[in-house]
Amino acid sequence: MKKRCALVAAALLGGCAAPTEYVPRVVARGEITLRYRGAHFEAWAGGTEVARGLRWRGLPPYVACVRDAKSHADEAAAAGDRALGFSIAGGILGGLAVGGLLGTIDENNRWAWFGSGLAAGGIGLVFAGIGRLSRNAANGHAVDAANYYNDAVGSLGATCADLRYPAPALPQTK
Amino acid sequence: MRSSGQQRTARRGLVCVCAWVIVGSVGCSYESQYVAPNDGRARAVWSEDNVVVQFSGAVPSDACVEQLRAWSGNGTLRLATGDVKRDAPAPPRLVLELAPAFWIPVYFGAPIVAPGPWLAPSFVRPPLFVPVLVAPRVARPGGVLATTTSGGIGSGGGGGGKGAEMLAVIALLVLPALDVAIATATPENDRSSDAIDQVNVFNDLARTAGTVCSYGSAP
Repeated sequence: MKKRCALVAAALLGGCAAPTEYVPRVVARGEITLRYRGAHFEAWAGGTEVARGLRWRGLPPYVACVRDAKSHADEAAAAGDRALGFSIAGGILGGLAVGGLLGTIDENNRWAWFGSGLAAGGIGLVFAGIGRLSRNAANGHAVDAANYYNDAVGSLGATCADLRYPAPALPQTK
Repeated sequence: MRSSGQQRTARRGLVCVCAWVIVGSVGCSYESQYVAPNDGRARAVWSEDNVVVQFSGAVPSDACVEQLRAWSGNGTLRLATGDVKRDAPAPPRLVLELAPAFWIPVYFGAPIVAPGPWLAPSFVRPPLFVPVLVAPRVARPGGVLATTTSGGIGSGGGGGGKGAEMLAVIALLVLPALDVAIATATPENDRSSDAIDQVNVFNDLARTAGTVCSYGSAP
């Protein structure tokens, strides 16, 4: 079991992604583009960073004029807060679980130490898992928000603050 | 001293929690419901734990696909339908030498007028970024291979008290590392950064005349 858990931990730690290397240059006025740096997704528009994971604070107001985008952006911000809270709590409980090893010294209370350590570690594991799922949900909702916004506003050259669109090149053909 | 029955129950409980977290964090990921309109603009869409490329009706030429492959660490195109990898080495990366300025969108469709301030219009037919789509179809992110980790349960040895103690000590050494690893590791991996770069490169090249990805060069 030790080997198996160590392998899982190694696989999880090895999951850190490389940063993006390309900076988009041909971008419409309000269009949101994504980047990835320092293990965080970033949303850029108009040459500035609009919001970044996990908390995605600036995203809901930026995409507020598109209903679907706004609701996904709100979900992203909420899930980001949850992810931070559960991940921190999970990490702290994991650290506290080490204290359970005192059971190897204190023979009279051995199982009290072991039990509390294992409980802390187990609850920490659950919290860390919920944190991981929430992190995933935060980033997924943020990407969806950016896409809904770009479809209706951003990639067509407008922004929520200034909803003026350029004229079409030609009527649509099929 | 606890009875062996209690120890066995505690051990089983611990393994169940471990399996639930590991399987849950792989299998219960956020599933995007976003359906990209078929307008010819490439998008970064969410699929499983990562961002992937969706061309949304654009048909990149072979040279364009090769250029996009160059923007991946291992020459893989991160499509929503699955990774595309070729044996041939990817060409050198193209970087546009352009002064930063906003792109005026070139789209095909009716003029767009917002119904009011802070109220974006909704489209029955989305404006197109290419005059005619080659293969119109509604595309959905998906098809990416899902990997599941099976939470195997080791039977463990030693029914006696010593064995249970040893198991508890091992669990107390492993659990904290596992907790911290899961709390700090990112669910996303290189697929996401590759896909974001490939979407950004494609849109830049598609919007610039005379490149391998220009809308005009599609078959």
